[in-house]
Amino acid sequence: MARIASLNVLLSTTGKDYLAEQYGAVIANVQKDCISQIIKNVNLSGTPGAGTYEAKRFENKTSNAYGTARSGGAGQAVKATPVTIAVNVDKEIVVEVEQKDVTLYGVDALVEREAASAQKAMTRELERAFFTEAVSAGTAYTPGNGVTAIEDIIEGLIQSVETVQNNFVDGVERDMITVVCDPATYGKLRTYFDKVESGNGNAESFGLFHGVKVFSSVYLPAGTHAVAMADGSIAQPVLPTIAPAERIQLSNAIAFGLFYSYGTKAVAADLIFKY
Amino acid sequence: MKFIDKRTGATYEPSDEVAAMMLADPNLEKVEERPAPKKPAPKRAAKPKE
Repeated sequence: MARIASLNVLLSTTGKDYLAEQYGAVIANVQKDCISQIIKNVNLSGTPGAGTYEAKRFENKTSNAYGTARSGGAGQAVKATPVTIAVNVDKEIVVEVEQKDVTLYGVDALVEREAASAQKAMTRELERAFFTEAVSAGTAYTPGNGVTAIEDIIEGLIQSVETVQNNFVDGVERDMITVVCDPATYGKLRTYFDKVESGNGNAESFGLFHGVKVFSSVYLPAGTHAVAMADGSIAQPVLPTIAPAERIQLSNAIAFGLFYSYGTKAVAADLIFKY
Repeated sequence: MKFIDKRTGATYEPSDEVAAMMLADPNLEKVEERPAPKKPAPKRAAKPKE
């Protein structure tokens, strides 16, 4: 550490003595808010009670002309597709500190700070795993010819989710859709709002775009500009176990941290699009 | 497998699982991907006559 020399306090040997240095200040760890907690599947996430989950996805029904079942001798069968989510990733964050260091290091509440930091690290990893799964399972969207404006691209991405039609889905409400952009794409969209809504350029968030929730995230995999998905399309059960601070046997050291297991699975991959 | 949206011209490249679902979407059309034309083999230089 480069200490500042005094102006005129001389050492008895030679040279000038140094001004005092104060320790103990801490620069807070900073991270973006996590979005996956808002949009992940509620029923299949949370704390798991089993190693794997199997959820059923039932197909939509179609109507037939009156008398079809009677003449055919059978009604429509119920069709379902199973989706399995495995809690198959096991991680730990275990920190060890010497009691002497904790006492004499000069930083208040070192153990509490480090324990909180471990929990934030877990949250970040879960967020990255969530969006990695979204990009892995999602369908790549390429705008049509001539569509280059950011507002048109994002609107096209939204419509990709909104107009899905298959055996399970027949359109998605916009209030069920979320768009997550990388900061550059979010910034372009924000700049578009600056142009069309004068005087609103100070706000970081614009909340909704054409009725759809839009967020900025730094946790999208590299090369992905935006992801649009119906809420609940990805499940992520997490089983965290906090390891409280305890003394390591036959030493004056303390260990603490957390263990956690999780799984991440797109349960409705047809409702996830990436750009 | 690649699909084109008949209304907007947007194209989609889904996973195999989702591609099977997209076949049921009346607004999407499967894009037939033709194999790239073979390049003609480079002509060998004629051997000089002895």
